[in-house]
Amino acid sequence: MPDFVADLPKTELLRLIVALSLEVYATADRLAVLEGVLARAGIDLAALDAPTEPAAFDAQRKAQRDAFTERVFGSLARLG
Amino acid sequence: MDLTLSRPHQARLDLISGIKALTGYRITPQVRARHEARARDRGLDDAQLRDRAFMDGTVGKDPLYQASRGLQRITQELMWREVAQALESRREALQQELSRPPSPDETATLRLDPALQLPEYYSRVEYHLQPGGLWRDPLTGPIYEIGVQHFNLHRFGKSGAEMGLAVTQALRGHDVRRFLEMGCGPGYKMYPILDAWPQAEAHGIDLSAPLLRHAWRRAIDHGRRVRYAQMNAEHLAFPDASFDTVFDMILLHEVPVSATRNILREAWRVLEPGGVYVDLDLPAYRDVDPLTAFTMDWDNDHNGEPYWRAYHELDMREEMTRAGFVDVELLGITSDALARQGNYQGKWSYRAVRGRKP
Repeated sequence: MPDFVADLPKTELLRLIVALSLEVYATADRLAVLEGVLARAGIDLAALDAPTEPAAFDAQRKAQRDAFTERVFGSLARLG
Repeated sequence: MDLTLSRPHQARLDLISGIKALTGYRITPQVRARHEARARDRGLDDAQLRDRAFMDGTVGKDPLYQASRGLQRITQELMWREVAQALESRREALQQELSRPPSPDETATLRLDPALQLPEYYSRVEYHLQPGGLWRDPLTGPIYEIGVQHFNLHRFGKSGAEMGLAVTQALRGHDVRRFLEMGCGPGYKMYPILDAWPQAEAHGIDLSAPLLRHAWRRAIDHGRRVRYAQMNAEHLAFPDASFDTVFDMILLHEVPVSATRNILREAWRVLEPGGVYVDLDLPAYRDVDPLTAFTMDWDNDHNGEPYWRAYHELDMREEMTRAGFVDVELLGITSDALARQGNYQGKWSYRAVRGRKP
């Protein structure tokens, strides 16, 4: 496969990866706390794996998705 | 057939679509702005801007452009992987549903041809990077439908109707009574034509047995009356003058030019005198600005589209005239509904070439 990003500064890629890891870590931590709280309250967590429509058809989830994409990948769009 | 995915799989696909959207709507416009500034500052002319090697050395070196292409390729690969993984746990049930024997009261019919030889130009290509191409996996149809919807950022809505709506515009004023869609794939692109001419007898053909099985089950689920058959559009099994309307949607950029010429010859043969043929696709390179053409051309080498360049460099009006069609027209098709969201450069338009058999 060709190197599509041969001239893309590697620092930008590293910045992106670090930003992504922050998001992933914060989400995983929050989820663990939440699942513990819910389980202790006797709440069924089946919805976590339930069939789900694409976010494109759910304004709230689409907005969350777009905000996340911007936080993680926005730096690429601002490359000067 | 319910193709709703479980939340973790859908969440990954949602983010893949989000990254594709960022690429198309945030990064690409900046690539254009920088390209236009460069062209203006250096006084570049149209001949230079349409020179692929020159554009590779300028736009191709722009880190923003490289970022957009890298993201596009990586998200495409991850998208197919995610869809396939999402359906794997349901494989047995889905395959059973797709291979269920037809019952006489069903609205749609299916005729497969186990002896059909797939052309080598087709069987070896993994179109749009879909693993196994369009025929190896029995679940090709569901995987294709879900993947393409995310690939297209759900621009067509849940119904996938956009291209079919464009064809109905191209057929406006024509009396459609018996039609054939060549390369019908999963079938849903045809539905707007069925809605516009509900009394018409509908036929769809394709090379791929798994895609046809999916189209057939899908049509039954949606109460659609269509006759599907496995056939090569280069060698149709229909007698001369069988249809008053023949069309295809984004088919001809998936075949080499020699096959396009055979398909046009067959479309002409199976049309009755006065019948109309429409080819719907994206515009030819010459009909879009140089940067759009350059960006479109990337798909030829990096998105499983080996015939894309040759097709988009072809003069389809000339080809159709040579095939015997008259009143050949090039129709740019956009509408508020079709153009509401953009693709490569924030603009989306189709072009149809329409001709009549004298």
